[in-house]
Amino acid sequence: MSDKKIIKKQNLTEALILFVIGTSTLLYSIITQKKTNIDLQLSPYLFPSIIACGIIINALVIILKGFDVKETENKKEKNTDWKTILIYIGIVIAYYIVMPFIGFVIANIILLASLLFLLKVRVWWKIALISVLTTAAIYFLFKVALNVQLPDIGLLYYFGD
Amino acid sequence: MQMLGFFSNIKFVLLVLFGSVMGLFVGSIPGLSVTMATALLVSITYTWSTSNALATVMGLYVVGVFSGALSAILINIPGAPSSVVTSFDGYPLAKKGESYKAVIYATVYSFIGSIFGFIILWLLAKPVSIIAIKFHPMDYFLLTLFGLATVGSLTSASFSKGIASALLGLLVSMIGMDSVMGTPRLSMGIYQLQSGVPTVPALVGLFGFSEVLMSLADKQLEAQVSEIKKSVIKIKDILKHFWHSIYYATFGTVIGALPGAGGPVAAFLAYSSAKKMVKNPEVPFGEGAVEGIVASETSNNACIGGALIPMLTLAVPGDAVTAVILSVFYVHGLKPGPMFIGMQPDMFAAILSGGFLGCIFLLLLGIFIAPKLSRLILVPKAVLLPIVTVLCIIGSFACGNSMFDILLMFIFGIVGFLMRRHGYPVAPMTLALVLGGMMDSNFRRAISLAASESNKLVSLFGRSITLVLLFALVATIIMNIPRKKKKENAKN
Repeated sequence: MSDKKIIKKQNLTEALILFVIGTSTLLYSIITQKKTNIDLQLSPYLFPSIIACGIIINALVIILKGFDVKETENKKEKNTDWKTILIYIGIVIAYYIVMPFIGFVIANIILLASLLFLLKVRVWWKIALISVLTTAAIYFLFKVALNVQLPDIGLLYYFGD
Repeated sequence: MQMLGFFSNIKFVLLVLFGSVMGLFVGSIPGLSVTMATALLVSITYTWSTSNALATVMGLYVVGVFSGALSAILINIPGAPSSVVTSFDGYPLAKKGESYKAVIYATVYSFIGSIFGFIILWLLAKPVSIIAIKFHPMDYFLLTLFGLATVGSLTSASFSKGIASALLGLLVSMIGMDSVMGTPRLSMGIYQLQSGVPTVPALVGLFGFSEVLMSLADKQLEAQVSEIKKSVIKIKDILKHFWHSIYYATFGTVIGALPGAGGPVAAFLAYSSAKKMVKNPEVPFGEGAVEGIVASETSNNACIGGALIPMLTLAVPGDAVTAVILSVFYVHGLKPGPMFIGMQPDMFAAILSGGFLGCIFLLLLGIFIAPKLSRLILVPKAVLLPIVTVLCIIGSFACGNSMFDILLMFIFGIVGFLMRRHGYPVAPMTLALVLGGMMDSNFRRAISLAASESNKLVSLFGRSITLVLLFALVATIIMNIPRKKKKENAKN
């Protein structure tokens, strides 16, 4: 497939996503508005409806403009390292899930060590030093010096109660 | 005379310095906001005397707003929404190894902007507040819409994509409790969203985490700048932009005095007008033009003095930080309002003294300490990215003490990354997120007020201020569309 076709396809996809967001918001707003007895000018759904209309019009403009072919450079996937990105996000999500069980300090050291290893730092003492010292510095700086609450909290809070 | 008393009070001066150092630290770390630090200060200083508390808060406020530019310049992660525009030219300069120059320009013009703002606060507090109080809800709405429309001229790729980003930001800002009727909307049954999407995690995600992912995607794991030279910058060169900066400072002070429209709007508008005013910058805008840094930093720091005007005279905060400062006043039993300056001139003097001293410390810290922070940029990305990720997590958690905020930060980070990857700028979304609630409430108030009038159109647009704003809005849109087309044709 030529670059131009790829760009057209990507622009169409983006415009369709915008169109779906706009249409679903508009429909939801209209339906919910009808259920309430509030005047239109006071309705909480008046402004979201206007925004939704704006998004729909904008999506149509993107389609009608002929897919903005000039953005060839932006559109090309420049050899994106998706594997590293997905693993990075995976590690961070795992940290988010595990942290309430093992605490901020340990979770943070493991997070930093894992991310450093992922980003090709291979000297073990460097990984250990950076992970431990950074965590210690952050803990001292935020918890002790600035009295900022760190995400070192109980499971009950995590589950919403 | 009262101000001289504060200037000669060593304890007062040291407390301003303490607040200033804290501001430098807090503002330059991505994810830590001046608003958050000021809120923390409320709990720390409530047992202090009022003047001492105000001294610390003013130091933190003045230097904190400036130091947001440091992270914007050094690692392209604005420390505050008002520093977004600084990153447009500051970061490209830093990438060229001229971060020292960028920091010095940001320091000097932040100082000029801040001083200008406080002088205006001192001289014109009453007259400006008289103008601001005359604003109708429709005027506020048009002003914010005008701010969003100018974002279109700042997007490098496509005007429609900039507008799409702004509209999505507005939509996200609609989630949560409706400010007029008090009913939850668009929260999709998620109870944590009933109070709205918190701004801090959203900003940290859009600018912090998405930047991390962008670096990963581009495989930019090596240090991008080889060395940072402490170059000699002539005072003559720095002050070359002085007269332009007075224009931006006036702009910033007026915008700051309008409740809700603070640093981000002023910086965007000043940058936009700088692009029109400066025909032949040494380096094109967006590629490291110092004129861009001058416009952004002068205007957003001038907003400080401006934002304090409605807060002191009307008890209406000009921005998020002044909203928190208002709570400092209430904690200490002060009552800002039309009578405040007449009834408590000593406190007004304490604010002005704290502000002016904060400006002096801004200059000193900016020149002597801030350039040393630029060593951050030499840290290899493989080390910096995990640390920035952790700071993003802490920064998004600290404001609301909620794990859900961390999750939101991740979501906004991934959305921001995908948007940037497909040519959608995240800056319009940021501005829309901050201004959305104000736009909604003012729009509906204006519509409701007009509903009871016989001539609705006159009620909505029949005032001179409204017409001026409407004209400015329409002119901005019309002027930008053909210009973009011309650019496209030229490129093609």
